[in-house]
Amino acid sequence: MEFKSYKSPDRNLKQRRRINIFLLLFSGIFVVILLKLINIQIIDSEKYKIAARKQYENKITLTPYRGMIYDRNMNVLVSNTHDYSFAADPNMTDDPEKVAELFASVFGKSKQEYLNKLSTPNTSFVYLERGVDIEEAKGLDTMDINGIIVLKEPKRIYNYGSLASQVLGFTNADNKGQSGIELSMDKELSGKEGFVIMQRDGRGNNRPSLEFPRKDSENGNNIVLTLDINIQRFAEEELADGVKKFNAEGGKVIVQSVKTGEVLAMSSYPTFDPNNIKTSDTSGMKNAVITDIFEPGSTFKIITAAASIEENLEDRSSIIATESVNEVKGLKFNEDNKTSSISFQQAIEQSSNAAFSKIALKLGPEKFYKYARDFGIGIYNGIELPGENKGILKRPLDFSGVSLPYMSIGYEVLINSMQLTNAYATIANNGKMMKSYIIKREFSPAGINVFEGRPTMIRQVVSENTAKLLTSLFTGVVERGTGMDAKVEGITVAGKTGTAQRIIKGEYSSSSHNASFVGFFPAEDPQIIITVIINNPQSGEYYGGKVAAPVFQKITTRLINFSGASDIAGKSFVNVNYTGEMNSGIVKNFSEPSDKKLFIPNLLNLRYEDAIEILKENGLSFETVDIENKETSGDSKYIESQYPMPNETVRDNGNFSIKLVVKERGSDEERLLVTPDITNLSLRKAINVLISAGFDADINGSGKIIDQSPKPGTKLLPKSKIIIYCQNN
Amino acid sequence: MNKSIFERIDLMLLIVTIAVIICGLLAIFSATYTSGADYFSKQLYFSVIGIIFMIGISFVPPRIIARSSYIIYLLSIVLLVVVLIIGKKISGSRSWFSMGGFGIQPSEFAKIATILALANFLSQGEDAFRNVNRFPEFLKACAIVLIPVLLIMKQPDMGTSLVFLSMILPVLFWVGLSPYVLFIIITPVIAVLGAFFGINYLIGAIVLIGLILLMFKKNAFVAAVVIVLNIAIGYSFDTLYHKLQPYQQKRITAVFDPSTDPLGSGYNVIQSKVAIGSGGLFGKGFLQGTQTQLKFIPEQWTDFIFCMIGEEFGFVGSILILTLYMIIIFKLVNNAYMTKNRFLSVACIGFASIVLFHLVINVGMTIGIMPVIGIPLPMMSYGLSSLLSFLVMMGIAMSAYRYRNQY
Repeated sequence: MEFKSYKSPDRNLKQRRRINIFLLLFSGIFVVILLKLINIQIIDSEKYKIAARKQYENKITLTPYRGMIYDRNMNVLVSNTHDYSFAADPNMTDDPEKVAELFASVFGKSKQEYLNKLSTPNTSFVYLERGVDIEEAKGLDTMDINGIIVLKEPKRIYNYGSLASQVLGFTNADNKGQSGIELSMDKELSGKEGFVIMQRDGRGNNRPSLEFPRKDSENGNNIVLTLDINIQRFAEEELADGVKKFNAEGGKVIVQSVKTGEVLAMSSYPTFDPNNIKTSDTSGMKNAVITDIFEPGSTFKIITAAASIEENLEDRSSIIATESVNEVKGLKFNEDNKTSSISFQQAIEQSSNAAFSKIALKLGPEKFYKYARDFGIGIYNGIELPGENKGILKRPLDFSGVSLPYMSIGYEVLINSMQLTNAYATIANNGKMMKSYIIKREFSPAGINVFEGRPTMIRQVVSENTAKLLTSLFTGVVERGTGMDAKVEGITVAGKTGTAQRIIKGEYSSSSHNASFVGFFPAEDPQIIITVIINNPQSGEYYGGKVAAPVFQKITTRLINFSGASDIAGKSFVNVNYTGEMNSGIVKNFSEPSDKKLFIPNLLNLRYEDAIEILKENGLSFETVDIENKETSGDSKYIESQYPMPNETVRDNGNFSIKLVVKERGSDEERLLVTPDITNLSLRKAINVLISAGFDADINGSGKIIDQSPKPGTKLLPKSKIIIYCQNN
Repeated sequence: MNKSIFERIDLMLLIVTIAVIICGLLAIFSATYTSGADYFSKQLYFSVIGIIFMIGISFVPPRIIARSSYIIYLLSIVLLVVVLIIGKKISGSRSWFSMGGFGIQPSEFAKIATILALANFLSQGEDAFRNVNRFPEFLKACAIVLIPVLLIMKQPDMGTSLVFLSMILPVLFWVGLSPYVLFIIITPVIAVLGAFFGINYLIGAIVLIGLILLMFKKNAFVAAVVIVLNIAIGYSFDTLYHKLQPYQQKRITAVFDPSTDPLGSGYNVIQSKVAIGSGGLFGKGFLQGTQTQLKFIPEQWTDFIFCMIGEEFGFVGSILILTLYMIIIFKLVNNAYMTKNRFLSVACIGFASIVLFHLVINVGMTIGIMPVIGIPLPMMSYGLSSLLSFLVMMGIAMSAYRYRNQY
């Protein structure tokens, strides 16, 4: 701006100089402000933008519930509960001394440990304790301590403890699957995290933001397994008994449906407790049924036998000349009756190694290999479980001079227990090989089927006649032969024993064996197949017929005599043929949604009777799973978890029912809390005291606390409301 | 009188003033948008009244204003005394009259009254300004300012008292105070600043003062007295500092490092810097400022209104506002220079220095280079007394333009 001096009365030089000084001063000040503005609005703008976003955006993650896992009869095997985690923002913690002291007293650790965590530099989040269950937390979760962040974190609960633990697997602290179904179906079970972005204002209040969409979390899908938890229990208990009785190293068991390939039970011994991961060692965690490979021994004769019958080389009565080859490289061809020739039937019933090596030589390497391959040896089964080992089947080109006779009796070949089972299941199923599977159904939280597992035929390995003949020969094994200990009252069992010498330090050992028995029943129309393998029995007995067959016998006896709720166990096995569609592949199936919707009430933590009352009022049917004790009843039972979760809407497919997991808690008397005296405290302090003591507070009036109701010392149930009366003085 | 409207009305000052008021109204609208507080319509109502009043005053002949200035001054002194007795106490200071739902702040009007009285006094020289280089005249001029200052400090309202003090030197300099005397007057400020940073800085400041005094080559005795006095002032600063209100002490220390007190006096500065900084070059858009809309800055419509401009209109908006104020200040200085009326010339310089002081302190505190002193951004901050008092100043400045040829 130009100063028009022509009109000024004092347009002398002095006044102009003063004007110039003013101008200089103003310009200087403006330049300083301008520079500072450039600094914060242009140069450092990004930094301030981040600072602003940090302040106003408060993203809250909505954690989905992980899907539940059921057995074939819809027993809840895995459900969800909550844990608490405590974290701190070291910058916001007013009094680290006190906080550390409090945590040390609650968790019984050293105060210094917490103090160290609370003085972690350059962070606004540090875990103090993770995975604390509600009782351990002793009310710490309800306390409002500056700088302490309480996180409610979902946690898996395995309702049957170690039962089927290797199949189910377990999750880590972040609730991600680490093994078993939890790992292989992790994506399906996890669901999708949702979030809300809350805007936090200058007063620390959260307000939902309109600009950012809310994304609800989607709970994970639920998985129904083909397992039957009762059969699983029989199998595990009997296997454990067998392993202990014969002082063995371990064992494996698999129970499968012959017609469908559904796995009904699967376990290896030792097992582990998925509810208590931290302490147990990892040895019991792997699913040895599919991860462990071994030389099967005599049970593998099924390949040689089936091939030679199918190729018309042998039938029931063919005579096989057995030479005096008794031992090759330490592997004993021990024959009990040293006759020079036996019939094919006898060779199977007595499990003659000499006879089978002869039969195999007749068959030739190419044919032997082809049949082994067709029976699934050396091929992945593809069951929906992680860690399967397909084993080793040598190609004919790699055969040495002794390979064929060795392999014919189950050496120089490595297989897993499931492959062994499927070879026998193929014979039991008239030569049709079925794919093993364990996922029966996957359904969404709304109850809609997303996936349905269906029986899948892999191939016709041998003809029906061959299969029928072999089955009847296997019946003889149990009737008269090596597997007599597998005989079960009331049904005809077909089976085969195996006793394999284990390789110790590169030599076949005569003191370490794998005893096995594979059997199926009823022989007339086989439904169930059970494989039992006992590793290294050391009690003197080591023959499959003596060690593994009795375990089979016990499992089968319990299975056919079971009278509880099951669609498989305890049935007469006449009418359980699979009646549904059979597919050559697994097909996704979406059921038609029905129009009727059911609203699921919140039953959590209600007394069992009250929950039942509510369900009856709403006309909902229910099933209960009692975790600890089937017999308890009465006042002490509470709803621990429910499925579906509260406030969900479910489509009614006609036979919908709510699953309730019931847990026993201490009686009301034991749970009563004594109300503290809060008069003379500040209102804020009083509320803290009440809430940390386990009560709720209700404030009446304002000002100083003059009274409380009920009076101090009264015994009340947790979460009871205490009315605080206040008055201005 | 056949002059065009441009000759009679200071259109430039009028337009820029109205522009500033409109920007202020937008800012108040946005700052109170989410809370729904009804500051916008009150400010709008008073803006209209104020603008009419401003234009009206620009038609009042200067001699009428000059003649009534002493009476107005006396009246405002009385009001300042009365407010100490019957005023309403708001956040620790008694500076408000409550009248029919509106708060009236007499110190705002005392600003104008004091400038007018001072201008009237200084313009009554024989044929020029009074010679303020003469000690009695200098003392009288200072007394005119110091009486209201003392009364306002009694309220206590440190910010407003500093505003009064800020105009003394520019005005005295304008009417001919010699640079030597001017320098002697500001020596205590240098000493105190030095003392604030520590003993070494104080020694440095005293040495600097001594050197500059030597350069003027004036009376050595006076120079010695000044130095001794300044040492005394520097040393007693510590005691004086401790006599300040604790919140004022904190505000001063927090200027240099707001993070020392992030939840106390530093909170506002951190928040306002975050708001302005996050606005970036072009801002987040009207009503889109997260920090403004989510009320991270308490009472933003008053002293921290500039944050809203910075956040929602960005660097471009900030520069626009600063440019408008620059035009106003330059225009006031220009009017002071070109008017033949000595009274209005002095008054315009007084107004210019007050607007400048408000602007520098207010904007400076929002960007963290000035202490948090609660004074409003002229004509933009919500506050009816402040708005009216600035508009009256603008009106008088416009009259200086209109009557620039009247002695």
